[in-house]
Amino acid sequence: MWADIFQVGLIVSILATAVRMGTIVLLGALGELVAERAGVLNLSVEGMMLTGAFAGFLGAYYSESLWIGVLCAAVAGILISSIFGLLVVVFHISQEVSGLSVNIFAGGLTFYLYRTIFPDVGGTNIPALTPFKVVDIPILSDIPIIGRILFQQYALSYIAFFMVLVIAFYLYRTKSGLILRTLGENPRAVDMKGVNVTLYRFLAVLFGGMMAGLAGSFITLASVGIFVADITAGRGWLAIAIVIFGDWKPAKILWASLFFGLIDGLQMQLQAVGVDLPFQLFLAMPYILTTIAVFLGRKKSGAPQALGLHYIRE
Amino acid sequence: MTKKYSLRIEKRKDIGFAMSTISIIIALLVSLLVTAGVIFLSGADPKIVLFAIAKGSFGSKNAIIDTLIKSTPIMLTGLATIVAFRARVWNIGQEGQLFAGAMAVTFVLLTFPNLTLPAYVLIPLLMLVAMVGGALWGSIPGYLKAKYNVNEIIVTVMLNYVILYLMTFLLNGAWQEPGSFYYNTIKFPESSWLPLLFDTRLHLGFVIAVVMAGLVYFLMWKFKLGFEIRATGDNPIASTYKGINTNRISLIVMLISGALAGLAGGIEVLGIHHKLIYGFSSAFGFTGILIALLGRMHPVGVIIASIFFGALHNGASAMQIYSDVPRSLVNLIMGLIIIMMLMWEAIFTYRIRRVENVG
Repeated sequence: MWADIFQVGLIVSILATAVRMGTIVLLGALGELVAERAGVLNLSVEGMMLTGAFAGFLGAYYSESLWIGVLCAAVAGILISSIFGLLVVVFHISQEVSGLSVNIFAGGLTFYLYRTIFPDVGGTNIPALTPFKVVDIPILSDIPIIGRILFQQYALSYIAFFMVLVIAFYLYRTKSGLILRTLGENPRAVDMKGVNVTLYRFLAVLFGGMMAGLAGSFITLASVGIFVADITAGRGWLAIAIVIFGDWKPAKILWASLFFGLIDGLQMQLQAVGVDLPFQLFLAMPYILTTIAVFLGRKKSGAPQALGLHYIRE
Repeated sequence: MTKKYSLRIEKRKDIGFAMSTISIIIALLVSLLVTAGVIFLSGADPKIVLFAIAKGSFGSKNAIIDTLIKSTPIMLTGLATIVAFRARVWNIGQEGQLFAGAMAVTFVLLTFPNLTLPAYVLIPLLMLVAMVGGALWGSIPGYLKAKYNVNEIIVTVMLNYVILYLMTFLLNGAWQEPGSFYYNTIKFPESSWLPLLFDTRLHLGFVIAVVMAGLVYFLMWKFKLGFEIRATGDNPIASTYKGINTNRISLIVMLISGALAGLAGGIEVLGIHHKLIYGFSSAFGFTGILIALLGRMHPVGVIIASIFFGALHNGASAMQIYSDVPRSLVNLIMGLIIIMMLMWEAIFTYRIRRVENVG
């Protein structure tokens, strides 16, 4: 049995799955990073991801174009995050309470719409669509092992990797990125420079929502091709955990995402190989390890000083 | 010289009870209107649907009893939420702690099958066991937060999934009823069933939940510990200066919160199913968060909100018979109300004042 696991082919497919699963949460985590760097703790990533997963599925199902689905997911993520933004940035309601409430709202909304639009769902009758196919990057995908792991992935994975660069560049190499980071540390200083704190934070929240929406569409449009209630299964929360574990830095968040993807990949592949352990243990593994990871990552110093605090001008 | 006036929007320090009540009423009315609109858009007659919900929830004695039965677990998880959230300890783990309570009860009953205690001893004992089970599961995030300042939100969410799989594992193996195809245990001995009240299906659990609401009220507003819990939530830094050990408070509220959620699990199992069965909780834990927020983080509010939602859930079953509108409408209504309430409350915290222009 263990000999089977240490075959090159299996290791490669574990790593390829790790990249795929990791980039799903990576998208969500990058969005959360931007919001948190602006000082907004968005606890509704799970709900936004769920909304994206649903809107993406719906859009693709009716337009018969997966990319229109992705677009719908991004727009839906922006719309739902605008509610969160309104509550938190404009009305200064507790960020935790708002996040939890938007989660409840998103869960209720998607569940209701799904049941209304597909009234006959049940048993084996689950509406499905043909998901995205992997995109081979020319030449690079032919590299042995590495090619299979990194360059035979879904387009959304490439987008996620690309966004790491974009966000790192934005945060550390642009003036606007500097303002955003300062917002999370000392919003008063930014306000005194004449920058509109409310607008900046609102846009950061919308960006987070868009990314969460994309992450959600990844699940329904590339990973499985169906939508069911709670399909995100805690991945939105995982994205928040990854931001903590990744010390609020893009590169570390990339590695943290891939690490969690690896756990997912291991879980799936070991189960497929038939390792003689209860399957529930495999399913529980990502959640147990996330708990351990948050514990190990508790002494991180990168948390924005004003994270979770409202800025109200005196 | 004439004085010049202009209008200024100001934020109130405290919204006050009357304003708060008005904002809730407006939020409920707006939600009702939006819901009616949604029903209309989905091609049904809002009047018929809403009437069916009302009739199904309060229309007859049986309907009222069912409503109260449905309100029981969410009342307890709502109380669990209050205790934690009042200290700004964000326990999202009521669902898992509820499972822990139900599992603790199951463990005791399956491990000691020959337990021949009379019901009046056994039931209080099992209620205690459920609370201990929930408190133990809640103690993990509580301890990690108190001792190591680990984010309780993530840990509680993750532990919900962990215990769900642990329960599935047991129900798929050691605890499964022999020969059963489904994920459930054997029926528990009758002495462990919660007694029924007034010759109806209403079980003792409802009374226990209301009593717990009273206890939570006394704890939070009449005892020093409750004062410390609320002070920690209001201003942790000032509380520390006052000599309140906020880490200790974090752990204590997680224990109490877990115990209340665990009690909900034990009651649901012993009052309704009389066995542990997969899927016995239809998100009662998560709904508790909603109940607490709707109930303005107050035990009386939680009682009202939980009965209201028990009624909605119950009415939704009747609605499904009379129309094509799916039950999940309730989930939408819940989400709508919570967002509306937050918004209207926020709007009411602002006031427009006429102020004299200076200079």
